[in-house]
Amino acid sequence: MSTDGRTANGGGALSHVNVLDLSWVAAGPLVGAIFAQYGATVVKVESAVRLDVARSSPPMAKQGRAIDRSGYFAAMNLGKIGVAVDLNNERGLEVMHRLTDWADVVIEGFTPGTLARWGLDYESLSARKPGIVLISMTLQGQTGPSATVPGYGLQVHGMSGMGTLIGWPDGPPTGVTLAYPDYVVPMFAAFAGIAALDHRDRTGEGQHIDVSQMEALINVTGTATADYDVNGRTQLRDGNRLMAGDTPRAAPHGVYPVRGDDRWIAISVTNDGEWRALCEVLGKPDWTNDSRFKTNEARCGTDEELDRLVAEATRNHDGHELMEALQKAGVVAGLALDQEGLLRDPQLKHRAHFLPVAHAEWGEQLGELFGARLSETPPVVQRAAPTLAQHNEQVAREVLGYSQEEFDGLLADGAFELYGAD
Amino acid sequence: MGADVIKIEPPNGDEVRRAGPFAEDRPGIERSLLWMVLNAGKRGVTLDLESEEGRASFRRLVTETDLVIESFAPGHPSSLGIEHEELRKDNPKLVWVSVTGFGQDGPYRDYKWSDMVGLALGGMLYLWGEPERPPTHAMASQAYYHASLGAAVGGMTALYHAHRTGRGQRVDVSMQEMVTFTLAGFGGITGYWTLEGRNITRAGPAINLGAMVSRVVFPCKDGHVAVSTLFGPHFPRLIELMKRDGAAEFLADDKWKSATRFTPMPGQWQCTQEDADVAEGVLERWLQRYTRAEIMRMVREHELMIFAVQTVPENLESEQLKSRNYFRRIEHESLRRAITYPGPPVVLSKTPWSVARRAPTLGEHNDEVFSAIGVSGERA
Repeated sequence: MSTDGRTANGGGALSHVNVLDLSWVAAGPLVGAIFAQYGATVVKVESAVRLDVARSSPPMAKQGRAIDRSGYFAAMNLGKIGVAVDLNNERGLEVMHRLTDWADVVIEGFTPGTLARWGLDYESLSARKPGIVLISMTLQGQTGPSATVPGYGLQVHGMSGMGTLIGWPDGPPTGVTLAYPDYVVPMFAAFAGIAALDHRDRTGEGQHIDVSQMEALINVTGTATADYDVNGRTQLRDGNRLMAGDTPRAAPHGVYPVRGDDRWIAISVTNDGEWRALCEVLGKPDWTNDSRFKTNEARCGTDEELDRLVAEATRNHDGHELMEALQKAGVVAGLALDQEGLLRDPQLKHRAHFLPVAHAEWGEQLGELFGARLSETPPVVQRAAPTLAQHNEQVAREVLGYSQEEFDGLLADGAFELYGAD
Repeated sequence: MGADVIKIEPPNGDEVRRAGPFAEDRPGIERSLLWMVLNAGKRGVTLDLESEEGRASFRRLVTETDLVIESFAPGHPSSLGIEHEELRKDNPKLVWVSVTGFGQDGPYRDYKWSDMVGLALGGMLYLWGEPERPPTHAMASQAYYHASLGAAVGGMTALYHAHRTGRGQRVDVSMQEMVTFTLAGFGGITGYWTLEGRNITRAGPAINLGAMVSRVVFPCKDGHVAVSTLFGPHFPRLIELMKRDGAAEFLADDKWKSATRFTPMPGQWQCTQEDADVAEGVLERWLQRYTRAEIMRMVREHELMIFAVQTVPENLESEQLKSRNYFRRIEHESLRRAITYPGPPVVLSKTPWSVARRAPTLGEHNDEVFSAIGVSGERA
């Protein structure tokens, strides 16, 4: 396989692993993208007729064919090889079976029951290849009365209870600016998938991993379930206070304005030493003598007044200078970075977090590294996301071993698809 | 997933034991629900890593260990004389996972971190909350979870590699970098800046797609519901329901049935942000006539893409979650009761996930763990 990307995958921990990604939009594709960062060869299979919704999702590049401009699609499919195959074409299905024979891991996100129509369900796949690992990513899992209810990750945000934990107590549930579950749940699935490969290597036995986004997301709601069960308390959003159930644990703990338009600094003070350091840096040494603020317990009791005073004191500071001064004094503080801020952040630059990689239509895609750096087998950006059907020929020839004539025939028969071709 | 996990605490206990909420709201180091949720399934020992004796026991333990996970400030283990490279000489397969705010190197290496600061410098905080107010964090520490999940994926990958090659390695996890992944994968949000030259900002109960802001969360009679794509295939059916109640207002005009916010396909009508805002207002007024249960009945009958915004009691009663045996109860003998925990985050067909035991009490397994490796440990 030729690499047109930035880094070869030869040294990756998963460089011997072949992944077939049949999923679309975000949550499923990101599982494959994580595998690719650790060196796996990931083939993304698309339909050139029923396009992945992600291909029409913003942000949009200015160059290239309309179907290849989505930065959203590119983010979900970084590092993969892309083909377009017609599963409803007899020879296309034959291609697909050769691909599943090649694969160690198959990722899919169809409505439960759909795969069986093509003979690609777990029973059929494992009958051909007992060691295969199938990862099924759906909203509510493969079984149960709601298994086939359609929807998007955003709704899981509401259903799981996560939405009720983000925002202001007098405002609506928030945190839906992005489709949050779509970007958290893939890590659970990747973790389980790698564990399943480890199990397969030791036993020869593959398995079916059934991911319900709803269930995975409830796993990251902290003490919400236990607190309700034991104390009868329904935890609810409370701005930026650090809460234990319904009691503030430490103060001040908030997000305060700094100089500029919509610029903010997060400050977490959890003990008296940090409080005194905060007063010092903000030029308010007299606050340390104020009996209302002497102890953490007292400060917790005056949260709103304290937040108002701190906000007044931070308002005219330059954010970067204030963060540096506070951190130097031992106060936990960080700027609420916007996207431009992330791209300019000196720490992320130092870690080479963002990596440009050649893209077939745009010239360049800005890739990112997964934040778990393995010292001997580090994460890599193998290549940009594929344009639609970009690697049909290479996959047919180099992965599946078809001759040029066979590939031409498959293309002519519509087994492999090209966009816009009938 | 079946691993034998031993939690090491200092002799006076992990700080988390002092963090609430507590069982029956009575503080105590064996009553922290946060401790219980974060440490279920593990055995627990106490060790004083500040003492030479404690470090010797630790080194002995590590010779039998596949993976160590720690979250000390960078450099702290070295200052105690604990070097993972040294430990790997006696145990070449050892995987050493370090979870910190910003990673083991770089200008923020020595910065202190909290969950909220991780969200801030990872770019998530800016996107959560209401537009006219400060950004907000979440009640449950999401940046910590992002770091944990990164450590689980990276740690599992390194462990698999060690099983195949016999060679362990260091896994350096940065919470800041893990938060950036959850913004929308590998660049789905920073792409707004690199490709379109704009920043996405928080939009309260709406999703922000740059050129388009779309309301997701709507109030109803007894709470909220979530609608992810108003102008989806269900919209014509939704309009009929509003018409039935005489509440469709101007949405009764047929053009709305083919409305789209995206580039219109043949037969579709592209509506503007202003149109969409007004349409969302009509929907909001209509939804407020109904409770969540009433709306969900209509959803089932008419296949609407609307979901109830739920909290824990409703999830505990969910037929879907019950049918999958999701929630798990674990006995806590000292509290004379069982506690309900979130269940398997993923369902594996051959090697099922389980919670084998409750979180350990302080030093609960000192005797069995230390005697098994022939060292004397702390007595709790």
